[in-house]
Amino acid sequence: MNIWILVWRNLLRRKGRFIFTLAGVGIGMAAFVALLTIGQGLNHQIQQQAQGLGANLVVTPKGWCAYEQISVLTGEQLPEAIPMKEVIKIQALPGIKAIPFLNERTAFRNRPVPVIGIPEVEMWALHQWSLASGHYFKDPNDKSVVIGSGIAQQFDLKPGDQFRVRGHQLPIIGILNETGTKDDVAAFLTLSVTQSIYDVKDMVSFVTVQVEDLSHLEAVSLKIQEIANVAVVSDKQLVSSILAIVGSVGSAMQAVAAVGILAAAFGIINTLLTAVYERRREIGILQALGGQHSTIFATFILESGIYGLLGGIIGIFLGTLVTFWFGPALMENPFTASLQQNPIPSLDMMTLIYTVLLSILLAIVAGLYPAYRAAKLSPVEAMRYA
Amino acid sequence: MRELLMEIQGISKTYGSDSNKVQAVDNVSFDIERGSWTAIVGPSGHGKSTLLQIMGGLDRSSAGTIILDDKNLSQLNNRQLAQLRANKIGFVFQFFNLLPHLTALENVVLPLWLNKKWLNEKRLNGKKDLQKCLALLERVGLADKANNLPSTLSGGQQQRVAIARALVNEPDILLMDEPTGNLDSVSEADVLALFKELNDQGSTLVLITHSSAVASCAEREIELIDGRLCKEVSA
Ligand SMILES: Nc1ncnc2c1ncn2[C@@H]1O[C@H](COP(=O)(O)OP(=O)(O)OP(=O)(O)O)[C@@H](O)[C@H]1O
Ligand SMILES: [Mg+2]
Repeated sequence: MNIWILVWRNLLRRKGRFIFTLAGVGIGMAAFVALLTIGQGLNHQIQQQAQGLGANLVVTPKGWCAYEQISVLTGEQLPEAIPMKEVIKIQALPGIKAIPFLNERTAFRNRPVPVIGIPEVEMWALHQWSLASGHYFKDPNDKSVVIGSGIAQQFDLKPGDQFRVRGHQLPIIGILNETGTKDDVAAFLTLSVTQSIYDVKDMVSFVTVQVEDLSHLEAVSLKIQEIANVAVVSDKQLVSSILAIVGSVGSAMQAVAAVGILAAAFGIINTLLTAVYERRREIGILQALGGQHSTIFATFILESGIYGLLGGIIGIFLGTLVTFWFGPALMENPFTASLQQNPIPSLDMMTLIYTVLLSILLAIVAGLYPAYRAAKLSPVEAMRYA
Repeated sequence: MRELLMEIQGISKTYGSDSNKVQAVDNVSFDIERGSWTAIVGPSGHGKSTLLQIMGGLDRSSAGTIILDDKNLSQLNNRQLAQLRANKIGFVFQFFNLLPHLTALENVVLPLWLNKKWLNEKRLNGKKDLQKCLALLERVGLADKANNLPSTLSGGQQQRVAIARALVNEPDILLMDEPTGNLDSVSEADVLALFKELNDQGSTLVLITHSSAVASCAEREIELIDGRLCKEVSA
């Protein structure tokens, strides 16, 4: 038996007020948790897509904006802007593997599907593909289609089915195993077949470059821009420019969470100030019985801290629920809208611990003023209120 | 001759500033011996409560000194005053002043909790504390009500719990502000009997009362009129 009993009983005296204050803290922290997990999920997804690129550098036409750069990761349709003769110059450089892509688009059963023209042999090796069923392209002029697992699932396709690209009936010959990247939601053709179907002889959309020795990354990037009339971005720049766009959406969400947390803090202050006012006579009794100012102060800080602890825990549950139920809708933005599947929110232990600690800290800070008000009551004054 | 416990020397207390100054207590001096029983009487608003609060270290005097156990109360800081209240003084109030959400037993044990460094010292003495408090409740005749909330007790019972609470730290002196002021005559007789018993066992009692019956039980009466000590009657 100790002072905790006093604190706990005090907390539960006004059940309605306790519950509403706690709900305020819980909701504020839930907004915080939802923000964090959604943000992390998105971040994770972008990093994964960037990894799926399997390259360190991306060669693009000059003057591309961030939205076009995003499309490199998502497999959206892109202008055919780099001539093959530039690609061949780049491929001739030592110590690199350069792979050209031609990103087009078709409609299949009224749904848009990215059609990507690739150098089939290099791509197979670079992306470490494997087949779930069927077989792979036999030669660069193989007029057939290999599709990602997501597309196969979405449209219920098997090898042998027909896939219509810009009026051309092509047989599906193979279905890739799931990769977890945008390769899952694209249809692949060989580069030359794509070029002829889309009538863009000798043009590609962009080129990915894998540099064997990472210490040469900068030099290779400069060299490419020197020999060819193109721009070069690193995968890191690509990710950061995407995050900048997504981030502007994120900061709106952050503002919402901050307001929620702030409102919760004021809820605690309000509740505790009311409690100090109601209990000033009891505070006087405690002082008459020998209670120190510091003890009175501590009882209110503990009370406030419990709001933080319980509110944080409630926030985690509520926030997690919200994230998994509404997360996909909340995450709609230029990046996620172009993803076929929405990012899955990610939740980790550190986030949870961090949330509870933050919640407790916040509550204690909110409790400081009421606790100070309680502690500085003089015993006589506190007892005068009969 | 009994041992001198508390010396009250020239105590004055003024409230407010120049224009609306109230002289609540005016140059009061008297001694309290260990084991004595003093009743403070006088009309309403004439400084009785103010004097008692100063004697108990709840308030500070404007002038004069109070010596308790070789300590000059006006020279103690707030922390030391709280310590003094915890260790040397037991308060009992007119309105019982039990904490409504704690049981009778918890109310009695409360001063012990407050007195501890509440974070590190907890379980070790917990059992002993409770036994001590149960014994006190038994002494005031309420052992069977230990787990009752104050709201389920009668006024007399609540006041007896408050007395048990005041005794838990074995104070040198019990200061009581109209302890029977809110009790019916049966409960008053009950509590008065308890005071007699405590006084017989050596407790030092000081109580404020408006009842001449209660005052006549004490060994001396001190009357305050306009904050001044008017007459001292010894039985
Ligand atoms: N905090 C204060 N500020 C101003 N005046 C005060 C204050 N406390 C008490 N007084 C005044 O001091 C005087 C003495 O008050 P006190 O409460 O000591 O009287 P009392 O003898 O205990 O009266 P009662 O028998 O009604 O309890 C009164 O005039 C009261 O109005
Ligand atoms: Mg009074």
